[in-house]
Amino acid sequence: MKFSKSLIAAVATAAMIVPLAACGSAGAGDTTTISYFSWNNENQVKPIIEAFEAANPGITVDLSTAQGEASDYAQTLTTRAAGNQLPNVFHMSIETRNEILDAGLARDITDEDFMQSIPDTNKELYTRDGKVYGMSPTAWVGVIVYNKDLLSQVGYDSVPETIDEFVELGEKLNDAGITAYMDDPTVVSGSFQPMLGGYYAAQGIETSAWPEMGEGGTFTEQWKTTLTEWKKLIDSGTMPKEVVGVTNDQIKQQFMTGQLAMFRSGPWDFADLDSSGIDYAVAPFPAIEGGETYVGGGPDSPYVISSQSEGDKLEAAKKFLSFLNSEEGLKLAEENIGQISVSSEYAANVDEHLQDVYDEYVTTGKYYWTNWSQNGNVMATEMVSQFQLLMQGEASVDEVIAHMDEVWEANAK
Amino acid sequence: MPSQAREPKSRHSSTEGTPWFKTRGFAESASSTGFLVPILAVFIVLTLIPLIQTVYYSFTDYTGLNPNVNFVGLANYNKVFTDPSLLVGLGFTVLFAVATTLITTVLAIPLAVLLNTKFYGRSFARSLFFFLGVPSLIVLGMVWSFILSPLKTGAVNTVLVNLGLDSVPWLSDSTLARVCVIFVAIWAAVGWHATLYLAYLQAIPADLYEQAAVDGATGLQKFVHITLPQLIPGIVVSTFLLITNGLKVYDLPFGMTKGGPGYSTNTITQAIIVHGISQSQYGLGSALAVLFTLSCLIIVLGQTLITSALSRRFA
Amino acid sequence: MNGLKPSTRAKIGVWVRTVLVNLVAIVMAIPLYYIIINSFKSSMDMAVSPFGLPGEWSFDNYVDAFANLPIARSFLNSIIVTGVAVFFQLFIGSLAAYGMILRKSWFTAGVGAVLMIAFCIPLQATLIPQYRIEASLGLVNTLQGLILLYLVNSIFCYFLIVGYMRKLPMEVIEAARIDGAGPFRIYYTIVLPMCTPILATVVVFQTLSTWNDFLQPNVFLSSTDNRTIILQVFNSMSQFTTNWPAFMTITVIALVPVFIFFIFCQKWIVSGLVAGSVKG
Repeated sequence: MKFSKSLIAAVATAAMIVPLAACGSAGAGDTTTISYFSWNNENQVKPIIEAFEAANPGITVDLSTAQGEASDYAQTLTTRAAGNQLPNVFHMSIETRNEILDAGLARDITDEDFMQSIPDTNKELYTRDGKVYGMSPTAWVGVIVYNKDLLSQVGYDSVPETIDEFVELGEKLNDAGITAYMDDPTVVSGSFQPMLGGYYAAQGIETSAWPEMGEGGTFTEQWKTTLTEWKKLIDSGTMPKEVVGVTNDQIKQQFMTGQLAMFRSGPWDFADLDSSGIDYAVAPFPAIEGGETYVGGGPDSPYVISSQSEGDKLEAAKKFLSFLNSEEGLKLAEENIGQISVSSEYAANVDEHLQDVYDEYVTTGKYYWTNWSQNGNVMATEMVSQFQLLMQGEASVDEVIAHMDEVWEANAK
Repeated sequence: MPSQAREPKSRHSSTEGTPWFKTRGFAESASSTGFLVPILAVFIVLTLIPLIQTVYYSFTDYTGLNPNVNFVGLANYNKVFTDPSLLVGLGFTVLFAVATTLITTVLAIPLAVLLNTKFYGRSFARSLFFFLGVPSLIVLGMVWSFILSPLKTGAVNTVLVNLGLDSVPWLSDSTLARVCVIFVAIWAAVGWHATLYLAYLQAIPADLYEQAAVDGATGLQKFVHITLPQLIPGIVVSTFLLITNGLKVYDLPFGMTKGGPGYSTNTITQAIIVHGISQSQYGLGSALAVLFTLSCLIIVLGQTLITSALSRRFA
Repeated sequence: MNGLKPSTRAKIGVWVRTVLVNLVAIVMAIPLYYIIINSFKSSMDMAVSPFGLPGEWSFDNYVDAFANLPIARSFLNSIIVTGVAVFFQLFIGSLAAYGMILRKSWFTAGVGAVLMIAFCIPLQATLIPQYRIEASLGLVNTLQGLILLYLVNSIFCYFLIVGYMRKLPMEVIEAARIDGAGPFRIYYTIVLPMCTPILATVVVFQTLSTWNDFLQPNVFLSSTDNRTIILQVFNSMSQFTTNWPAFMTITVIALVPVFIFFIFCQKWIVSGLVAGSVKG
C-alpha cells in the first residue's frame, strides 16, 4: 500500500517534469534553427558550429552526430529519411550516394555561390546529369604512419616501396618481437585500396570506369592480382591475423604505446599521435608487382542540403554551407578534424608530417578509393566481412572475389 | 453475438454457487473490456499496425529512402534463403538462445542450492552474483571487448603472457568469438537466474526434507526427488525469459564484436537493422523480420509445450 | 570423513562452501574490478597493467568526465523516461490483468492469446514503421516519444501481474462488490494493494530494462540534449577514442545509480514472481 502510494507520487512528479523539460528546449524569438547531422564526432564539430552561430546570430544549428562510429551514420540517416525527418544539412557518402540521389533527397546546388570555389575533381563524384548535389571543399588522405624508432631498431629509416620489401621489413620486426603493421578490419581495407589504385595507374586502367556500372569486367578480373599480393601481408604475419576482432581505437592505442611499428592512419589522428610523444612519420602504401606506390584518399564526404528544406531554413542552410567553405570554416575543419582544404577559399596549411606525401601524391592525383556505382553500402559491408574471412584463413582469394561478383550481380538493378 | 449465446449458461450456473465473476451480466463484461482497452490500444498502435506494414514492405523493394515502392512478390524471401550471411546469422541466434538457456539453467540451479546453504559471506555472494545481471549489456559488451582483446596487450592476454603462456586470439577467431559472446551472456545471466531459483527454493516446505531424511535419502536423492520437482515452476519462468531474451539478443554481440569476425557473431536482430536500415534494403529487412517473428513463435511454442509437459509429469 | 562427528562434518562443509562460493564470486566480479580500477589510471598505465592497481591514484578522469559531458542532463533524461514509462507500463499492465481476472469470456481468452503472440515479436521487426508513426505525430527525438514506445512493455508487465492476480482470494473482492464498490474502485483500493509484491518486482524489472535500453534511444533520439545515460556511455567511446580510462570512468558513473537502486530493491526483485507461480 505504502509502496504503491510513494511510487505513484514519484512518478506523478516525473510526469510533471517532462513537459517542463520539453518547454525548456524550445527556442525563443526570431531565430531560425536548422538541423545538421554530422559525420564527425561532437568534439570535432562543435567548434565549427559555435563559430558559425557567432557569425550568424539569427541562426542556431541543432547538431546531431553519428552515434558511436561513422559506420552507423547510414543507419540513422535512413531511419530519419523514412520518417520524413531528414536533417536540413547532412552528408552523402560514396556508399549512400546512389540511394540518396535516386530518392531525390538532395538539393541541386550547382549554381550556388559557395560552389564556385570547389575544384571540379571534388564535384565529379556527386554530380548526376550535369547537376551537382554535394559540396566537398576538403579532401582526406590515408597513409602508413610509422614509428621511426622501432623501424631504426631493425635497420630501416623509411618504409620500403614494394610489397615484397615491405613484407621483409614485417618479418624483421616480428623477429624483434614488434608487431609490424595493422589496419582497421571493421571498415574497407585502408591498405588494399591504394594498392589497387597504384596497380590500376601502372596498368593504365581507367579507375573511374570500374566498378562504374560493370564496365571493365568483374572482381575476378580486376581484383585478383592485387588481392593475391595484398594477402602477403597476412601470410607473412606482417599484419597479424589477430587484427580481426580489434577496433581501430585499439590499433591506435597499440601504436601510441610503442607496441606497433606501423598502422594505416591519416591527418585526423595527428593530434592524438603528437600527444603520445612517439616520433612518427608517414609513407605511401607499397606497390604490388606491376603497380606503383599510392595513397588512399578522395574528397571528404560532402555536405548536402536536404531537398525538403524551404524558406528561412533553406537560406540558413545555404549560409551554413558558405561558412563551411570559407576561410574561417576551412581553417577550423583543418585544426579540429584534420581535413585538407582543396577549395580556392583557403590554401591548406598541410601538417609537416604530411607535407612530402601531400606534394608528391595528393597534388598529383596519385590517390584512390573505390567509387561504388551501385549499392555502395551492401558492397562495402560485404567486402569487410569477406576480408575478415580471408584474414582468418576461412576463405581463399578466389572465394572472396567470386563472392564479391555474386553479390554485385545479385544486387544489380 | 457469442456473448449473448453465453448468457443463459451463466445464469444457469449461478444457481450452483460458481464464482462471482461468472455470474455477472453485461455491465461487468463491459467494464472488464474497458480495462483491456489501454493494453489493446498499445498493442494495435505499437505492434499490430507496424507489423502489418512490415509484412507489406516485405513484398516490396522499399529502400527506406525512396518513397517510390514497387511490389516484388517473394523476391525478398528468396534472397533471405540464399544469402549465406543471413543464414549464418540465423544459426548463431538459435545457437546463442539455446546455449545460454541450457547452460545458464544447468549452472544457476546448483548455484542457487549452494547459496541457500549456510556459509560465511552469504549475503555478499548472493548480491554480487545478482548484480552482474543488472548493468546494461551494451556497456558490459564494450568492456568485455577490451578484456578479451585478441592482441597481446589485451587484458586477459597480458596476464597469460606474464604467466609465460601464449596469447589467445579471443575475438579474432570465429569459433572462439562465438564462445566468448555466449560465455559473457551466461556470466551476466547466471546470478540473476540463481536468485530466481533461490526464491523458489526458500518456498519449499522444510518438512519435505525432514521426511526424506527420516527415510534415509542421500543428498543427491533429495535433490532429484524433492528440490528439482519443486523448482519446476521456476524453471518454466526462467527458461521462458532466457529463450525469448536470447532470440531477441542485440546489445551484447553488438557491443562486443559488432557481429564479426566475418559474420560469425551476427545475430538476426542485427542483420535486420544492417540490411533493412543501414543498407537501404528495407524490403529485405522486413522479410527477415517476418520470418524471424514466425520462428520466434514456433520456438516459444515449443518451449511452452516442453515445460508444460515437464510440469505435468512432476506435478 | 565417516569417522567425524556430524557437527564437525557440518562445520567443514560450511568452510568448504565459504571458500568455494566466495572464490567463484570474486572471479566473476573481476570485470567489475577492471572497470573501476582503470577509471583511476592514465591511458599508459592501463595499457601496461590492465589488472594492476594504479601507479598513482588519479581522479582526473572523473573531473574531466563531469567537465566535458552533459552527464547531469543525461541522468535527468534517463530518470524521466524510466520513471514515467514504468509508471504507465505498470498501470496499463495491471489494469489489463484485472480486466482478465474480472471475467472470463471468448473476448478475454482471445486477448490473452494475442498478447502472448505480441510478446514474441522482436522489436526490430517493427522499428521503421514505429519510427514513421512517431514521425507523423511529431514525437521523434523527444522523450515523450521514447516513453510512448516503451509502453509496449506493458504486455510483459501484464504477464507477470496476471499470474499473481489469479491467486488472489476472490472472497475479498466479492465482499467489496456487495458493499457497492465499482470495478475501478475495487481495482484501486483492494486489488492493487494486495498485489504489492508482484508490482514491486515488475517495477524493479522494468526500471532496469528501461534504464539499460540502448537500441531505441539510439534510433529515436538524435539531439545530444536528449541522450540517455546509456547512449552517452556508448558515444563517449567514439569521443574519447584511445582514452579508455575515460570510457571506464563514464561507465562507472553510469553504473552508480543502478547500483544504488539495486541495493535498495534487490529483495523485491523476484519475490513477486515466485509468489505468483507457486501453487496456492
